[in-house]
Amino acid sequence: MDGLRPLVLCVAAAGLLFAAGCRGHPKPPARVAVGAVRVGTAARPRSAQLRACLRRYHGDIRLSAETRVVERRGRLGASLTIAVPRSPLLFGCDFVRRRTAPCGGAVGVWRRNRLNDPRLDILCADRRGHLGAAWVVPLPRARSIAVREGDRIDVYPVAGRLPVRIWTRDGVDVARSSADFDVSQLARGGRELARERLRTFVAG
Amino acid sequence: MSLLRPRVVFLAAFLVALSLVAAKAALGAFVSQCNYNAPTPSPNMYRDGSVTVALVARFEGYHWGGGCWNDNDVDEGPNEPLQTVSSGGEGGDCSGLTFKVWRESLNTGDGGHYQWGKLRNVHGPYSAASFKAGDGVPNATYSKVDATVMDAFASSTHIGMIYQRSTSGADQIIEAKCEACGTNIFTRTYRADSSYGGVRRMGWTG
Repeated sequence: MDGLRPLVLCVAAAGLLFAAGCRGHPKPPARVAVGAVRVGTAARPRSAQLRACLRRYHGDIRLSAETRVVERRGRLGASLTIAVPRSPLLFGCDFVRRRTAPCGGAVGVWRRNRLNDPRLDILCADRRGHLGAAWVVPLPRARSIAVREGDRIDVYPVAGRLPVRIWTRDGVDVARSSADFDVSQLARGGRELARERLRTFVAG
Repeated sequence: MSLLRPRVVFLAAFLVALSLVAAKAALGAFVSQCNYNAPTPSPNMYRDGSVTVALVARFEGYHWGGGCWNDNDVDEGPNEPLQTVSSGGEGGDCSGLTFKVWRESLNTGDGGHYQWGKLRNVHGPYSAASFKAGDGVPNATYSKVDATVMDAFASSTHIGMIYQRSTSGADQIIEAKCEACGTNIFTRTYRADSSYGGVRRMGWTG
């Protein structure tokens, strides 16, 4: 996914505002990492990761010019989210950094802007341990999703009118096949629309 | 007659409320038995043995993301909200049942055999789509034509294991299908369905 668009300034500002603590409570300074995102189609898959992801779902994804692909790259991992026209299924592939083969993936049912389940994947791991990836459905006015882990905040720009694939390391509980995400939905300018502790489980 | 009617309505409402409370209490008692104990490693794993493990789950219900069940042939948590994990019901879902019956490890790099207690609330790291892709060291995609007892057929959204192979194209499949259908043996044509692929748990002793 080389050549991803540069980071959007307003999203970075939103993340920084979130990190600073918008409600006036003093918080320790957080390190903010804003993920890169690119929206495209799968008609001519150029990246090795996209080709590998399409191989994973060979036979399930019918490629067309309308097939939407959201490629993300962040601090903990990269992901692909693929929406196929006239199919209720949403396909995802997860990658640990600098790998072209997916370490895991997810398939969700996506109808009328509702996802059946966050579709947690805990198959990916790096040298420091397990990673969890899940989808969050952005609120109508959300421009980015912020995930807090300790003194770090990962910001994921909303893109492609699709759920946003987010990552955690600290929240993964392998014994319970679950992961918790501290999620904030941010509007333009960094205003917090909603905050929740998203508890997700591997299922289905 | 007009005096009796309110009393009948009250009595009916009271009985319904009582049965709901009793059902909730039974579910609570069941959930309290579920545990997070470590599995027991076992050197061998036979297909017949895994059939027996699967049959324990039969009639015990279906629970999205679940992995805890007893062996009384009653679903302690019927009519749960669809695709919701947190209500704490009985039974596995399709991939959780497969994980437990295939005696897999939570460590995806470990191909060993692990006996999970029926009341161990474990789903495992794999979804149906992950099984279909052959994720994890113990799992591999496999020819559907050659799939046999305790191999599985998986789609992007479902997985079921072969209970009895049939030459007619419709196999007997043991699976946790849905909240309404529970965990049971069904006649399915997954072998001929192009959305399903074959999956094999590697490392059978026999």
